[in-house]
Amino acid sequence: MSDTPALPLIIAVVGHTNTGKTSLLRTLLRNASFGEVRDSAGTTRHVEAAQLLLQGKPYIELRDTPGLEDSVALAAHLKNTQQHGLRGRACLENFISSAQAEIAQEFEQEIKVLRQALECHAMLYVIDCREEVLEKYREEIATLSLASRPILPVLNFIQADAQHLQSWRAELAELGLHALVEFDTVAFDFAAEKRLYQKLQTLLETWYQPLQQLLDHRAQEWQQVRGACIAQVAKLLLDMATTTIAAEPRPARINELQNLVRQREQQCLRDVLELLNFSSSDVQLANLPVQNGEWELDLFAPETLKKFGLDAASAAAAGAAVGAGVDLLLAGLSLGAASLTGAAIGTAWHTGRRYGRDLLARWRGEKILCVDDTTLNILLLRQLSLLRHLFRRGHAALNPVQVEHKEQNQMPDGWDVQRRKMRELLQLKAGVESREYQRVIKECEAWLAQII
Amino acid sequence: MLCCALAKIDPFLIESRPVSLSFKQQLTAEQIRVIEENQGVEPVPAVASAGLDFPTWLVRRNDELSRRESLQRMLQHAPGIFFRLLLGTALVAVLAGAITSIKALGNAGTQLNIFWVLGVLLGLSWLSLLLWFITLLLNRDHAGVLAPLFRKLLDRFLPERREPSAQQAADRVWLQHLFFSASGFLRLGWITHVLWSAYLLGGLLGLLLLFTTRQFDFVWESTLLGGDSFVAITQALTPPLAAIGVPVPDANQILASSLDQTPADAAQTRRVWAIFLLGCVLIYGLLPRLLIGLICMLGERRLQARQTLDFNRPYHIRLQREFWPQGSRARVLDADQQPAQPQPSAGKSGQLPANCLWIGLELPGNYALPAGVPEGLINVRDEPSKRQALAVIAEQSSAVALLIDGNKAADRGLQRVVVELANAAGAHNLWLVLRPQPAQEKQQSWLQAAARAGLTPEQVTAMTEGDVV
Repeated sequence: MSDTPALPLIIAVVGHTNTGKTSLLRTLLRNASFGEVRDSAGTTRHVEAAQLLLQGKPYIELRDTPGLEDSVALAAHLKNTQQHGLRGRACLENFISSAQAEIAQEFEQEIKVLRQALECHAMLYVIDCREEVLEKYREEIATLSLASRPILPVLNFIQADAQHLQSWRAELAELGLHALVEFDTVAFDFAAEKRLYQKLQTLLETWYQPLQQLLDHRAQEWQQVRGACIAQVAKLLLDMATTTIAAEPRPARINELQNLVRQREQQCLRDVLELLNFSSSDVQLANLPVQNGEWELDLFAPETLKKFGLDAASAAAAGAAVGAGVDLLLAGLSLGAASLTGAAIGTAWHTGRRYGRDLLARWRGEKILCVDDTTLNILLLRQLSLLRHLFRRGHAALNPVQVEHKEQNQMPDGWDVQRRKMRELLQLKAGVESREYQRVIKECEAWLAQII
Repeated sequence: MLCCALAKIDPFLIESRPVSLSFKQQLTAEQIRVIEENQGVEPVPAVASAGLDFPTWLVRRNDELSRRESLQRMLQHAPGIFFRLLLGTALVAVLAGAITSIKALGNAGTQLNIFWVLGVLLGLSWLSLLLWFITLLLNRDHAGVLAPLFRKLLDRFLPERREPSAQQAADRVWLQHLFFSASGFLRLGWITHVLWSAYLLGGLLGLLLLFTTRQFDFVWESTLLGGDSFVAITQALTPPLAAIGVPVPDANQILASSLDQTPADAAQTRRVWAIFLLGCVLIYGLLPRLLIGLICMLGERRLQARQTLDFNRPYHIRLQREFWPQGSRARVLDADQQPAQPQPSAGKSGQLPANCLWIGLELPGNYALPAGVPEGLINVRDEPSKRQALAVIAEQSSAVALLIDGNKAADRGLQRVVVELANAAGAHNLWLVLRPQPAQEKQQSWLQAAARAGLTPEQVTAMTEGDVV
């Protein structure tokens, strides 16, 4: 049974102070409230653990450790121990158990890290790539290697400054650490997270299977959340494109429409943030400039006519059926007159039911307010920008996403088609429950997923 | 043997085959979704998530929930109204059928034109069936007359509202899934045929009533057609009747039923014709309707089976997170034992003495030295460079200015270096120069380093980018 891996797989997240260990945990756990993150040394001073669960079972236990701060002095003490003939884990164990009180106090944080290094199955060594390779980092890696556990270097802050990335890679290769992963905790990339687990799979052969399951599950979950966010945005756009209110009394109604659009945008934002496990402090949304559009039903739009033609034909047939019934009941005395009358009544009833109110409104000169194209365009651009930012945002990011109203720049390809389809719903008077509506929303989702 | 078999079972193999929900389960899931979206998610302690995938878990949870009386009532509300409505309209149809047939035949006197009666009884049904087919091809969502009317009626009872209550929302979801979805037209189809069947059944009952209580002479008449045509028509219609063992009129009886003739066995002929009429309504009226209705019903099942449930709704993700956490709560394994360090406060920056010895502390390679600082200063970044700096400090007695990158915080390693340098130069003789101006927290870390090394806060100064020494 030696090849049955023990679960949870315990992974200690180690590294120099202020390199983003807690940030890495936040991003891997999708939990922006784990631990404390500050741009300062020694923010985390204890060992804190959280487990990644899959279907209720713990798979991985990630342990956040305090930063190593004085590895040079620590290495000196360890060398003393090594002179007594102790090597590897024994050396670390001996140092932890028999350090003098003064040293134990001085290196309290380091000892916490070493204890975890001994207990864990593997370590993620977090590197701040904005820093140059220094002796102290080499000492850290050398010290951690004594625990004889696989170490996977995680190169953090690669987006901010890539200048030291090459020297770090070279240095790690020299230290024999060839499996490493670039993972920015602030600028999240699911592909990078996937690589992280894959590298762990290589280092921890025994845990290959459970890691694969976790990876698959995470991928599926990420797809689901992404899809859900896109669906929310599609719903918002479609909802706004098909909202109409009566135009009178004018100023009050315009206000009402504008507020409606803003409220819906806020509601969509809340849902998206919740889905992605962010809070409202993660986004600063500039107030949406809403314009009002006056919209008139174009009775001669090709789509309307086509639909109208079909509907009228079936209504006429239905009317004729009723009429034919009357004919037969009258024993054919009406000679089919009832059928014809029925067809005529059927068509008229149908037309009146569907377009009567609009025709009446037009005749009276009444107008309907709806959200105009400019507002819809801005709404789309804002939501696209928001989703693009949030999908690449790590849970360790502290600066909020700024979504501002940009000048109307290039609209994405295909938007015209989508918008036209949405507006057609307005003309067809297809409600939320209708299949036309559901079809348009599905198409819009597919289109959004493709352009994001 | 068993042991070997058990050992081979992968302990992490979780059933990964996709679980598809039946249409009924989907419908219940959607109804419960809108109810819970409306009145909050209900805890179901009995359903554990361990080892299940989400759809299976969701179905179990829904089963558990729908056993609760309050929820069951809500789920059953819309179907209840539907069945009552269907029953009501079917009864009306039966009555209408009976009344029509009685009206059509009741006033006709004692002589009944067989084929005219057939036309009245079946013609309407066939014509409407034909129209149903035509309108189905034109626009399947509005096919026929009865079904759209029925849907309108149902819409009246379960209206769409702007801000629906949980009950109303659940009703609308039910309505949408059964009537407005891809399979909706087939449901309307079988409702149409059920109602027509009821109408024909009513007609049949009316006929039966008339034929039992009154005596009719069945005749045929024509100006153009001869007796052979009527024999042919009748015999074309009779095989299915004969097949079920019903007596059918023979050629002689048919010919003898002409308007101007009197059949020899009048009573027998009357009975045969009456049974023929009833059989025709049954076989050519009721049976096709029932058959097409059945086909619609089966088709509806098929289309419903193709529907899938969209798990990408915020509700589902929320549920997953609430009852099926992806991560456990954080817990502290090894707590911080050290008491909080006293925080030294920043003093007024003192004046840096002139002609001091400049030493760098872990200055990055691209660090721009302030004007006035010599280019080749010692940058302490490892043990050899530290020893070199200590040696230089020991050689001379001027003040030492330690230039530090303000973007860095002082960890204990750097603090130790500061202490060592202060010990070599004398605490009063070492100045920490932070450039650029560090953020509050980082400044604090350097003040702490200074305090440990015995420096006063005045000995920590900050320079902005433009400052010159």
